Amino acid sequence: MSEVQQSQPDTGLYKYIYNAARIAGIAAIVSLAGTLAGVLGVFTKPTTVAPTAVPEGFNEQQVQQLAQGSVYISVALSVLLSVLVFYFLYRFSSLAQAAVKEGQQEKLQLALRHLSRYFKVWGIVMLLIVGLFVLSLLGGMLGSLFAG
Amino acid sequence: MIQEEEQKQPDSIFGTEPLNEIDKALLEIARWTRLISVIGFGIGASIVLVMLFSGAQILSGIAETLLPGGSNYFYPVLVAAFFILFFMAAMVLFYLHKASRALVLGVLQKDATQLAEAFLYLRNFFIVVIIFAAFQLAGNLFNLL
Repeated sequence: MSEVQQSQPDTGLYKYIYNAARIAGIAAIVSLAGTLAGVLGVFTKPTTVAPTAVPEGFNEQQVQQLAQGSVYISVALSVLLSVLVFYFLYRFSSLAQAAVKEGQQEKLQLALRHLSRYFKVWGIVMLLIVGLFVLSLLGGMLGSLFAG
Repeated sequence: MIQEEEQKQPDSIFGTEPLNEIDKALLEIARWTRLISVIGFGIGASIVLVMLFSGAQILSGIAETLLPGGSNYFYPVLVAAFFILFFMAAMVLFYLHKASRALVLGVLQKDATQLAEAFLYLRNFFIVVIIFAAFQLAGNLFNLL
């Protein structure tokens, strides 16, 4: 039998799980609100993309549109990520609080699974960041090799 | 009879019980939090290295682009902001690392105190996340005005 199961409601471990879940719920809501406010900002006040030097042979307008498009793609990706993360964290929060109140093991197990998925999403995002960084380093090195 | 013994053996080899679902979920959380904290420490170390060699250049460059002309006043603010941000990110990683360790020890040693400690660290982690997100929200709302 696990310690989590042995521990009765209102004893130490349950109290700590409940507190962590409560704070996690607030964190989920504030994070989502922050992202939504940012998205609202992008759509109400379209940031003018800094004019980049257009290489010869390219239409200036098309390049600007491409730059603007990349802004929208990154906004869409960040919204997708924050909604996903919000869902997992909020489910953990509500399920864990309910589990502690009702003393239900199944709900606690489900809550912990959602918390692990929340961290999994962040872990994958960090791996992607490192991967892209390494790729850009390699690209830069190869570029300077062939340019020189 | 032999079959029965064979079935029992994997569980009883060191007198350990199989992990139940909750313990598995806790270990899964520990695995991902450890991965995040290790990658984060790596990124942090490389940022420290870059900043040691060309931190002043980078930050004064940013100050000049954000506030042309007023970079003399803006530069110290930017340095302070960088240190605060860096310190908070380090706190996030520290709490995640501690939580991961406490979760693994708590599950393997069947120690409820360690698990309670792990959730205390996770709570602290979420508090720092709230502070980060509140900054982001305030910045975005300010941008909207």
